[in-house]
Amino acid sequence: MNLRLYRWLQLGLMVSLGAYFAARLLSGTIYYYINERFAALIAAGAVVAFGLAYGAWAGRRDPDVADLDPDLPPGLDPAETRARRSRLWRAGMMSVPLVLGLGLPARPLGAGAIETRGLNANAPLSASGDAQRLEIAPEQRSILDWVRAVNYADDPDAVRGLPADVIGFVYHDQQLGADRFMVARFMVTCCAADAAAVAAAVIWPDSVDLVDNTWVRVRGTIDITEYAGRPLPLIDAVSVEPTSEPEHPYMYP
Amino acid sequence: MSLPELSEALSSFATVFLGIFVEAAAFLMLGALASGLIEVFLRPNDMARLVPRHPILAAGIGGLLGLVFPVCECGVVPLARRLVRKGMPMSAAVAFLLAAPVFNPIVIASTLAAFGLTPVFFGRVALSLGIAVTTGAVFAASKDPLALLRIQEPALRPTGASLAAAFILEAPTETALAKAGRVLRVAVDEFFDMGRFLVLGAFLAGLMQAFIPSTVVLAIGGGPVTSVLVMILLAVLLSVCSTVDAFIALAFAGSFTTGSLLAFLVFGPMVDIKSTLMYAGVFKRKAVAYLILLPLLMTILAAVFINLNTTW
Repeated sequence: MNLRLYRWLQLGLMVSLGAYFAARLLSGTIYYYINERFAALIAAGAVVAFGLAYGAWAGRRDPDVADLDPDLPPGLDPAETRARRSRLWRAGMMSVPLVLGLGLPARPLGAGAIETRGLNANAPLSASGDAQRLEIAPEQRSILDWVRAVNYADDPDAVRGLPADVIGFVYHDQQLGADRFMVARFMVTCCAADAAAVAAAVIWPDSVDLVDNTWVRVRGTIDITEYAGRPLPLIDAVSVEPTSEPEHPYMYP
Repeated sequence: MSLPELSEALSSFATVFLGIFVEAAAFLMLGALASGLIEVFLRPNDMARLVPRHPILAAGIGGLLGLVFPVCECGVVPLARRLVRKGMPMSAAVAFLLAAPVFNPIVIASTLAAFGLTPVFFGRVALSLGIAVTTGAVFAASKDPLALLRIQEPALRPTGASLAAAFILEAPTETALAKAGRVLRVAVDEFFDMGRFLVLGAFLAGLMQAFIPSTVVLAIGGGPVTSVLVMILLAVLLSVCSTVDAFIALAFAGSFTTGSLLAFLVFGPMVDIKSTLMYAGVFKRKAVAYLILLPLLMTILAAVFINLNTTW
């Protein structure tokens, strides 16, 4: 690939990358990938991407390797061949994120990711930096709060019988009975790479009718069961209603 | 694997891959911008003046210079070579070469963003600095440091009068707009050069998370010694830029031991495929061997010690 074409490709890819960042931020789908506290970083990244696009444009008339040694015919100069291959490899690799980002529908991690990652029954209390979260009113507690409560409260048994009202997506775990499912959320500290799933088991007779990844609101009373040797919240549900996906599908510990 | 399962796994892969890429690319662009500014506005003799002549003291100062010049492991090699040829002690240049990819504001910020104020964050900074300065001090024992460099043109000796002109990077008549254009041109090239390794690293991390059950990964990642060796190998193979490798390491947190994560984060920026190739282009074979083996041994010892003696 000659330098001029490479510069135009750099320009196109950087403009596309800046636009991709901006579009994800404006649509809110950036939160499928990162913790909300990094939104400003992505906005800065979008601005810098447009700046780098200008850099590619400014370099469109740079002399090519071939121009430096015009005596060698095209195809016979090893330096030129290396440079051309290297540009092709760089431009090809840098187009991969855009191909995947624009070619596949944006989706948050869901039940399929739990299959390979497993559940994190040991939700980090320290990551919140706030032990007071265990004091939140029962109806306002998230799945993460309940997982913390049954693992770290001074008297976990005291949560039995408290009212629960949580939102999460449906995940069917084969270790549970046919009348049960998991209502789950992912917590993300930095980006989707560190996502860890937390869940509560739900007793619901029509469990088999619920499709994985459907977002539901579960109301009922809390009990405690055991999962992989750790205490797990168990909700004896009185209602399970479909609901829309939250603006932030992940929780931030 | 059934078709719906494959579809779910591909979706998870794309989300993890893009999660790493989107966040790390933003950091990489900032690093590339800093690199462009250094290339256009810095003259190596400006830095050489700051470093004491005593080789051991120089190694200490060299280890800290990354705070002022935020370059990743790719930008640091040519810069360190320029500095040696401008008269900087070899010990300082080696300490700078090994420490700067971690001990600089951008990488400190990205590691902090990924891990917070945890032992991984503090351990990475302290171990990188310690190993770099120690290796630099070993290089101080060399009687003719310039003999360690591969190319020895007489004109590039520190006293060469022609050198001053050779390293002046700014054209005196260049306008501010032209300079800005050159900064951005260098930055976009740096971003493409380093970005391909980021794409490769994020791709592999995404594949691993989407297709390999965590139970399998945990079996490898749990051993105090095997986990360290596996993560060192991974760091070398992935060759991810230090600006963004904390996000890759984060994907392994929870499955791998803390010592092995530190080994990945400390050794990776010092030695990987791309930096080894660059070392080989600058240093003689024996010096390259020291640059690889000293950090390797110190990293393994520190990481295994942490795994066996702490509860981090």
